[in-house]
Amino acid sequence: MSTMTAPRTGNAAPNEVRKKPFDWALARTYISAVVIVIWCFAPAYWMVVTAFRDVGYTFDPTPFFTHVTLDNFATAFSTNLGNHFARALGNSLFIGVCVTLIALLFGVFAAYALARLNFPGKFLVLGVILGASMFPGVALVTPLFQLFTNIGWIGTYQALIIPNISFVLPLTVYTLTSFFREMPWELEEAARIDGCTQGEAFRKVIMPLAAPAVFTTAILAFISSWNEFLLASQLSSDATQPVTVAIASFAGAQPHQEPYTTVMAAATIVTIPLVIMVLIFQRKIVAGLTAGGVK
Amino acid sequence: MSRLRTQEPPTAPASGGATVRRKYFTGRTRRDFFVFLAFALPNLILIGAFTYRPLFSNIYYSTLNWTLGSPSATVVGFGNYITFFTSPDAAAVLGTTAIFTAVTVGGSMILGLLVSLALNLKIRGTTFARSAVFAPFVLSGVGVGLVWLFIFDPVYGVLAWVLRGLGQTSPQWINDPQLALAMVIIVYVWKNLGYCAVVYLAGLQSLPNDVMEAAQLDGAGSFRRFVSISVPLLSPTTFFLLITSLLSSLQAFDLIRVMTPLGNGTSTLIFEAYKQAFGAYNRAGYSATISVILFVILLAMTGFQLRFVEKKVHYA
Repeated sequence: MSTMTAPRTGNAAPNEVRKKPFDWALARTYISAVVIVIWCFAPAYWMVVTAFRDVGYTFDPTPFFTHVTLDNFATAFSTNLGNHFARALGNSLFIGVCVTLIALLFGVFAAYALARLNFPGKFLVLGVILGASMFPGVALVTPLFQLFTNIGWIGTYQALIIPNISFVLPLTVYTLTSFFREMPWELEEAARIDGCTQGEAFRKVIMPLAAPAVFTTAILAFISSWNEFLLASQLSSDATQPVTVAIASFAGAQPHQEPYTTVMAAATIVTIPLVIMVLIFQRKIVAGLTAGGVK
Repeated sequence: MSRLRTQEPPTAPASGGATVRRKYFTGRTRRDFFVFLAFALPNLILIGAFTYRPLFSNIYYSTLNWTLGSPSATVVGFGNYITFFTSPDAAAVLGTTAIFTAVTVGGSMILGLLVSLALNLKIRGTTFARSAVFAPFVLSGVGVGLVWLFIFDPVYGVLAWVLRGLGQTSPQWINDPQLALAMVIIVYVWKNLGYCAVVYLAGLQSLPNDVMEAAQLDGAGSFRRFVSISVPLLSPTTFFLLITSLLSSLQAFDLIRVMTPLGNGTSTLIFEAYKQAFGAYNRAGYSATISVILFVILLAMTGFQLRFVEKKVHYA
């Protein structure tokens, strides 16, 4: 390690550190990088360790996997205690998929129009769509609760899906518009010169090119819907509640003795798929979140 | 919403007056407009019905003395606003909101910038480290809150165990209002830091190399280069992060709700509004008032961003 020559900072040239016998700067950087990663990952690690630990050893602070068992997962999925974790997982998945698909369908058309077409008032429309993303959820939950009470939608799936679509649409439209603006649209013109209609050019040339952007947006929309809590906590019933609401009430079941191992098992199931998604698609997700914002 | 400002397409119509517009609004433009309507109308209807309409209803509710679900309500005009601003709640809630927002935004941006410097190194494992740092940001606030609650448990938590090892007793994180706020802030910074770090990293990687090399030739050390070149050149990124982080911190709900369900010391505007409507109080009108105040703050910030940020910070 002492003979390695790596730049001290990303922008420094490597020549100034070469002479020293032991590269303290590099060692320090490595140590700080490791500390940062541990700080970020430690809670997730502890969650997984606890999730796999026998309930009798809940408060054993050994930082390794000890007393490994799958019982906590069985307890989390068991309906004996009045928890319906499996059903909640299914609800979250169902709601997330519906929200993502519908929001993408609507979003692709709107973003295409905003990126490609030209007419007065375009930026006003864009402002109206994007402005909606600024509204605090707590300002909308009471009126939506009242509205859905009036039309008998409380506890139905549509009460959870439709508002969520309208919440993720600004994000979807914004991300897709940013991506669409950077696409090689000359190809569309070329396809039209070759005899495609505008619809055909869109379907056969643009859609394949846009697929990565659409996929990234789908990930963002799904994550946003999967994590939604405030609205769902008021508008869902026991039968339709998504997993965020379900695990929050897991914790409240016994105020004096928290069922920590069970909660950690449930939290593991809820969060680990997202962690894996981030590990695989991190670049795409970041590109989507910062699209157009940082140049 | 203004993030799009940097990307106006070259074909955008000139921002001319109505006469220019009338001339443009023919032929292709007119056709485009109808295509656009067909494409965007579903969005606009949905957003109108389930975002704008509730928002306006909420503004109306804020003038009512009303219990959620009750068929009767009395109009009190600005009564709720007067009640809020003259009660001791106002100072407490606004103070908590200010502390929570300032510390979480400042903390996650400063730490995020430092982390981004480490991630920008050309050393092994930065790809994994970047994902590890970023992951908490996309995790559900509820799940994260539950895990941290276990860690902070004053008797059985890992933190208490570590503190015992150091000869300390764990403080009562949840019962002490100030510590509860500190706890929520720590977790929120933990969750948000990765977002700031990766956005800063994108900014760092787009910095012009030649400027850095020139400064180095002139004898500027790495710290000097960071302070005099990187930080100023990153100012557009900083403003982007400042605005997005402010808006999201002001709307932080899941963590606070899960970690401190009673809001003892952690009642920010959003959580106070929630408690008033759905907690023990059932004061839906009063809750609407608080959420309208929150909305006005968010609106002012967005307006500020539109008005100033794009003019002040540009190097291109």
